[in-house]
Amino acid sequence: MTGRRGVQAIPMNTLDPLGGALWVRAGEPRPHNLRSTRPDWVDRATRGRPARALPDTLGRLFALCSRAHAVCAGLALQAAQQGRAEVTPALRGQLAAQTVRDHAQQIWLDWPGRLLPPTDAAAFQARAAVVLGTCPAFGPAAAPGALADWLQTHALGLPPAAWLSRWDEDPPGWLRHWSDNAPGELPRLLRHCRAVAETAAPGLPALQVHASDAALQALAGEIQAQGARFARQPLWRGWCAETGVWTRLHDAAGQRLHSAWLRLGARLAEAVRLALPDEPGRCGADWLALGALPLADGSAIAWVEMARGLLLHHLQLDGSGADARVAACHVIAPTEWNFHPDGAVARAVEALPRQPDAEAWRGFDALVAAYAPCVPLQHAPSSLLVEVAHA
Amino acid sequence: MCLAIPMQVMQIDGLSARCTAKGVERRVSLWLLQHETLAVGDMVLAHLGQAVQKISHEQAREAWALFDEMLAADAQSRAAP
Repeated sequence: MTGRRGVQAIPMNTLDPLGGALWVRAGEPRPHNLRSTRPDWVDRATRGRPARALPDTLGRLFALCSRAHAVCAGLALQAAQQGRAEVTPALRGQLAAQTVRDHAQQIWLDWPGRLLPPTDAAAFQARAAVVLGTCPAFGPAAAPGALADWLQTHALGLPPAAWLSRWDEDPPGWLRHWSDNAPGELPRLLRHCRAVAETAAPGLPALQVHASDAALQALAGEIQAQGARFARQPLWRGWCAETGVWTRLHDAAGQRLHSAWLRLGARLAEAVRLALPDEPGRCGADWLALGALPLADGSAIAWVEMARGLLLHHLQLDGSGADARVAACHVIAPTEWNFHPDGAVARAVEALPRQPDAEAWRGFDALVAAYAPCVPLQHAPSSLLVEVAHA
Repeated sequence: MCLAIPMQVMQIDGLSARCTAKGVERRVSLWLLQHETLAVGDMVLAHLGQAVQKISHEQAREAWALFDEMLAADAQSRAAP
């Protein structure tokens, strides 16, 4: 989190309007303690354009999660045009590869800065730089099992299948045992942050709208009725919900992971799952749910479980076949749910003291690490939030 | 959302690079691109201080064409009475 040691001047340059930021104001009540200045570029980038270009356009626009967006947009397009969408092994493989890469980036690059004191974080990151240089997730297509071997050597200290079996049996007990006893930087990091991360325990309904066609149809109805406003501040059945690696459709136990610390563990567990051979509903590319539902009149809603949670694309076409154009496209990313002004993180911001001490910030940082926003989080002066609230 | 900015590498110092785009200079980490061969003049996608992908000049031009169009439309809508 930037600006913690004082109110930071608002940075502005040519690039800043593109990405935006999340601004928090510690100890202030919802819904004015967490504001997003992220622009919604999807409508401008897609409306009226040829529908066949949609996967490529959204992949280019959201280049960080390019494959996940391209897969989701491709499924939405298929469903809207053909009345069905085929989830192929290739699509599953692309989504899994992107997701495990994002997990590795979060764990080795984002976690140290949020979960360790600055000197320890710098030392961890220096070693992470060397370790990531050998990570098969970032290179060209790796041999089967290469990532599992890498995880065993550089993260787990034991065979990934054995680590995952213990996690599946008892997530809190195993994470505690492993982080207390295993050698290496990663267990030490989790051991170090456990006390503060265990006390941060948000609790909102898990977003599993993709569990049923009826729920997806209801959500699509809300999107159609409210458009971009809904996409920026989505609600499920009228309520805020949260999404992350602990809300996967295939993970019945995930929703019992109520602390930030266990949710950090869930991210590591999912990296392990994705590195192991396919086992439906448990490991490999079959672990992540994805699909699309055709709706009436050339529209569809598609979903993919990505590194930060559930990604949804809602598409409405104008015309048919090769000449079809995008009448409307809405993207609802995981960050919109988790960083909703009344959502899980806003509740944690509200619970902070107005002048948080280092311990309070560390607990909050652990929570932010668990939710992993894809834009910078900034400490806001009160005047900015008032300004943004009225913008 | 997960917007990454195409930037041009101006200087490389080990696993760090000085990059520019639209007159803005940023220092980005190259930790995630250690499997790539990078040289001054190459284009990368940068996100929150990390270079996350090496891209071609053509891909960078296409991405900036899209961003420029959106920024221009945004500026126009803000300027409208």
